[in-house]
Amino acid sequence: MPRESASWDADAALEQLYAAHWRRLVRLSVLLVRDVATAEEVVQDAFVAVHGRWSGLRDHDKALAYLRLAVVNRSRSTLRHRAVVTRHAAREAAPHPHPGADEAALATDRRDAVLDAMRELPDRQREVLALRYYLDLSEAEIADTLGISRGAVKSHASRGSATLRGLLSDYLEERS
Amino acid sequence: MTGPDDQPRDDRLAELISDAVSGVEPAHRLDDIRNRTKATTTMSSRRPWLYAVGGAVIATAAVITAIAVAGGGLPGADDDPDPAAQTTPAAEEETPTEEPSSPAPSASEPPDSGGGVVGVYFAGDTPAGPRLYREFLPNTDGTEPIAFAVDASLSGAAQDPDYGSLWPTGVSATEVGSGDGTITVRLSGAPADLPSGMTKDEAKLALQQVVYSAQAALGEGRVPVQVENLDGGDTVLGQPVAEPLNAASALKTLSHVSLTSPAEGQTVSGDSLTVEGVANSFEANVIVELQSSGSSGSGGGAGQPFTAEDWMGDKLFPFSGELDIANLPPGEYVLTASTDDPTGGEEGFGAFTDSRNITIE
Repeated sequence: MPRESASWDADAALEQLYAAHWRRLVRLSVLLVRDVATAEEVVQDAFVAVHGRWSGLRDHDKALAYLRLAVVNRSRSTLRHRAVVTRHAAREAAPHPHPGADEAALATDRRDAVLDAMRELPDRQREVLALRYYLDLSEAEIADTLGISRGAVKSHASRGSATLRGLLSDYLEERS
Repeated sequence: MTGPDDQPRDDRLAELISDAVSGVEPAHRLDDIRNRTKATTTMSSRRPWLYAVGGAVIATAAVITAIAVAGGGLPGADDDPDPAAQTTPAAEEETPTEEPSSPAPSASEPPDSGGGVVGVYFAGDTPAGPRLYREFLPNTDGTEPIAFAVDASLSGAAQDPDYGSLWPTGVSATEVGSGDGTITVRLSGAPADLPSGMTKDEAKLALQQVVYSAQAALGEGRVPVQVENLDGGDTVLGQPVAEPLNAASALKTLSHVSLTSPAEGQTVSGDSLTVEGVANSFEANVIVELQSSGSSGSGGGAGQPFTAEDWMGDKLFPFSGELDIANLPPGEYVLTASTDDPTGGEEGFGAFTDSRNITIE
């Protein structure tokens, strides 16, 4: 019964992929879309999609590569469609509801500043930096994931990094 | 991970970025995902494997028409709805920037009014074998028009039952994008080899469904389409896709007539019915007929000619006009647009037709 075994494989693979990568991929998406609930939706959709394509993605590495691409692409299109909404939401959320201890407040400010700075970048630069610095992919892996050239990866990474260093100079200096 | 010739990572930046999401603890969604994958598994066979063949057959008909109107184009009617106008066959190399002045196809613009209508190319039967018809579909959920068009084209989600997709079930586009003068369509589930039961011509036409739909939805002219088979290989349906695909000759790919408006199943009222479409027909004559598909009435009559804007060239030209429906009894009708074939099929293929079932209130 090849059909049944394929279906079992897809379900089992889905659970393994979920256990290993759910949190990491949601965090990746948060770097791209900022909003956690949106990121959860995006990654959930990506998992549903990878399940549907399991027949073509039988090995773990291929499936993970597909998941990453799906998360990046879906994050990007979510951003486009919700650009106005999220900008509004970000403004609303700006005063953080947990003042708490100074140190915790500083950490929260820093995290917000980083996410805000990421949002300032063009899509591709943001994606390349998230894959490079958060998922720790090599330039070649990023090129493969995004379907762009190595040269483009290098240029997005260096431009994006330069912009971020400018935007986050306070935090970079503070800790050095 | 850092490759041998990678730029060095900025560890301070990496630390800041990783730290920014280190506190994110996503809710668990495995059950939601499982529920959805169950649903998609059982629904995966909903697509027809091949397009439906044949047009509507009218047993009895009362023909009641029409006013011939030379097509000057109505406001909002797209003036170059054919993305492949004057294009070369896919096999030939041609740069897409050759005619920057030619108006971009505007399939994302609705022919009448109302937002979010996207032109999608489907396969349907003609006297010349399967060809592509363009149908405008409502895109209500705000999907990118180009992604919507490619998805609809692959799945065959046409409103007109005469249309469908040549693609096997289970093929989907995981990414549709554009940039650097190329449209990229990443397909998953696409067979690398020619499926049994499909001819080479059908495989080529299936790819042209995607090429035409994507180009029209993007609206930037004849941008080459790079199809990637995510399941590996440089072929899809046995056709090479290593190089970007161009739109093939319009007259060898498209039905020579395609109705834009009215839409399939549309209910119309009032004194006149606006008919719009594109065609390439002898001396620019397009025969438009409205026939009752009810049991009353008898006989058939000659349809009335509309005039398309032109007919010389490897493209389809817009036509439009008004039919007087003031004195028609309410009921079900079939609107048919045909190319003019003065030879009655003696030369060439015979007339191309496109039809719509409509209701007159």
